[in-house]
This record gives sequence, structure tokens and C-alpha cells, in this order.
Amino acid sequence: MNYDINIFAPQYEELNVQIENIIMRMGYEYSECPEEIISVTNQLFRESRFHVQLKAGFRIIEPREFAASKKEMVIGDLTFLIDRMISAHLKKVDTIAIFVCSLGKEYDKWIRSFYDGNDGLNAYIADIIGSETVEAAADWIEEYIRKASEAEGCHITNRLSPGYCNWHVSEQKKLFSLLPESFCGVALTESALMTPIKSVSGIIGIGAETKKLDYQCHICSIDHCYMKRKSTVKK
Amino acid sequence: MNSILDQLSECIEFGKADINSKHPPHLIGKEGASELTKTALESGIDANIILNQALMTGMQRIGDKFSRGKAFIPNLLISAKAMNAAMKHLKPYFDRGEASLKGTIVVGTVSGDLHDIGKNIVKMVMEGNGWKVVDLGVDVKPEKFVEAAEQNPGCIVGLSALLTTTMLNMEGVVKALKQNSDKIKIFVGGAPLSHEFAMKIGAEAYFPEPYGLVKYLSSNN
Repeated sequence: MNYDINIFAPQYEELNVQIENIIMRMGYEYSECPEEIISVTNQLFRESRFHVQLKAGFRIIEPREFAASKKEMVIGDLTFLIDRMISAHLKKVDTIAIFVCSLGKEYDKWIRSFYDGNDGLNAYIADIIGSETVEAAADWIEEYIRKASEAEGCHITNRLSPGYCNWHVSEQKKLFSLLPESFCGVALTESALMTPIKSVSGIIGIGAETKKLDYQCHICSIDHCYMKRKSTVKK
Repeated sequence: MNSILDQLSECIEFGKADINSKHPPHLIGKEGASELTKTALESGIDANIILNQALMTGMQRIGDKFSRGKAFIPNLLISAKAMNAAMKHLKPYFDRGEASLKGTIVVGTVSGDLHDIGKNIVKMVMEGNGWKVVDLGVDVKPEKFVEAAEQNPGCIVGLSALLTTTMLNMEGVVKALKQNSDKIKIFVGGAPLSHEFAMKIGAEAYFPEPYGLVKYLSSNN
């Protein structure tokens, strides 16, 4: 296993961003979305790639430094507070990869330019496109880690992020302390908010016996979570 | 044929800003909110009647659809765009005091938080429902809220936060505002919030979506 710091700048074309998913994020079924919304979304979607400065990276923790129980995850001398929603995923993992993805500062500026021009609709849609794009970037890095892990005879878990699955967002600070400063161009504010805003961070469990569980959305109280909405739509 | 006020309501509901707007399909080529408002004013209809009986009726209709899950945020934003197109013609009447808005709301995302999408949606919906909105932006410190409340006597305040870490900063803002004026009404919104949290920090109410606030204010003013 490679325990070095890995940083990539994937090409936009390598991401599998789907317009249908962007429309769904706004609440619509694609077939029921007003033509004007589809038209504006298509136009902004085409333009969005020129504002993306994609960076994605990860670090795999050495297994001897990692341990997880029902309530805690320990990495080196850092203890993370988790509960069963996270620990269920980490039951049979040997270690984790910490990952970060970001669309970069220019994307935030692009969204801001619409607000400055008093164009709330374009700002909202550009924001949604950004959320979908950065999730696609996280899919990309997850796929990379999956392939690298399978090459070593290991499997991976789903992505798990502070702020979701009852994992407090303030724990993000501990996670970032395990990465180089400004990793992938992302910094944390005092309140653990990532800047640029269109960034995603989290962990992926890795192990020879690891199984990929579904997200535990049915026992989660966060109703606004995108994963929860996705799982509801699937049903 | 529908009256001009009915047509205007329809333009707002479906987001037809002007004659060039390509939405909705059934109104393509027809006059939009801008042209109809101008015509209504020229024909002597009072600005208050245009606001209350046409524009806000349209906003209420789209708001009801939104509350029932039959419309989504982009629909609200298209309607708000049409509303703004109409309001440009009404502005001189408000400026001269010949027509009046419902009141003033000061909005802002609390300190430590840079998310503004929810706050901006509230802003557009409130403007569309006849309120003057003072937008303080994001990462707003308590003293800035207090200053804005002092500059806008009788205003209400809307606080936004998206993170579980930053929502805690709302309590300090509520305290600072109440210290300055114990009658001020403060409303909170944001994905991680709840009614219980709003009550705990001394806010008037929590609403998960902007129309909850609009309805509350309509029935409590």
C-alpha cells in the first residue's frame, strides 16, 4: 500500500457529471422540470467546466496507526468521536484513506458573480452544478482508491464525511491536521467550513475483509442530506 | 378575457418577466409582468392594488405550490425575477410614499459561515412578498446585526446558518439584538436547525423553508 500523499488534477472530462443528477438535486424529476430551467441549466453546465480547477488527493494511514470501536476512531494520537452510523462501516477495515476534492476558488467566484449581478436563478443553478461536480470528483477519487486497494487484495467502504452520519463537522479539523497545509488548495475556517466552498473531504475504509455497506440513512436524522434524498428516490 | 390584474398574477406565478421571456410556454409572445404593470399604472390602477391583488397573489400561488412539493426553488426564483421586473415600475410610488411595503427584514448568515444560498432565497421570496430586505451578507458579526436593527426601526431579523458549528453563533446574535431591543422578532433558518433549537436560543420561530416565514408573518401582523 502506498502511504504517500497523493494529489491529482483530473481532467473535467474524467468526471461523470450528469445533467439528470443536477436537475434531481434541484428537486425535479427530469421529465417534469420546466423547459426554461433545463435550458438555463444546460447553458450553465456547459460553461461551468471553464471555472473548475479540479484538485483531488488522499493519504492512506498506516494500519498500525489506526483503530476503530463503536464510539471512537483513533489515528495516531488523535481520537475521533463517531457513533454507530460510522462505526458500522468501519467494522472490518484495516485502515482508512483521508481524501479531499475541490473545484477551486474560481468556481466560488463564478457563483458570486451571479449574485453580484442580482441573478439569483443562475447563482442557484451554478451552485447546484458545483455541488454535483464536486461529488463527481469525490466519486473519481473513490474509484481511484478502490482500484489501488483491489490491486493489494483489499476492498473499500463508502465515503464518510464529517458533518454527515452523526459525525460532527468540527472533527474535520482533526482530519485536516493529518494532511499537509492547504491540501488540494482547501483551508478550514474557525467553524470547520472548507474554503473553497465547493470542496468535499472525508474518509474511506480499506481492508481485506471490508464490505461496502449502504449508508444508514434510515436511522439518520439529517433530512436535508443529499444521500438520504437519493436513497428515498431509489425506493 | 382575464383582467389585467389576473394576467399579472399569472405572470408572477409562472415567472413571465417580460414579453421576451421564453417561459412559460403558454405565455410565449404575450406581455409579461413588466409591460402589464406599466399598463396597469397608466390606466390608473393604484400601486397598492397592483402589489396586493396581483403581484402578491401570484407569489402566494407559487408559494403554495412550493409548500405542497409541486414547485421547487428555481420556480420561486423565476417568479421572483418576474416580481422584480414589475416592482421596478412600482418603485417610484414606494419612494414617494404613495404605496407601502409590509415592513423591513434584516437578513444575514451568522459569523463563521459563508453559505449564502438559503439566505438569498429568503431574500428573494421576502422581496417578492412585499418586504424591504436589508441583506448583510455572510459571516456577519452580532454587532453588525445590532447596527442594522438600529438603522431600521421596527424591522424583523432573519438569521441563517448551514453548519452545526455556526448555528451555535446564532445564540450570541439573538442575545445582542434582544439586549438592544427586547421586542425585536428574530427568525432563524438553515438545514441543521430545528424548532427546539430556535426556542432554546430565544428566537421567535424556525422555518425550514421561506414560505413558512411569509405565512407566519401574514397571520401574525
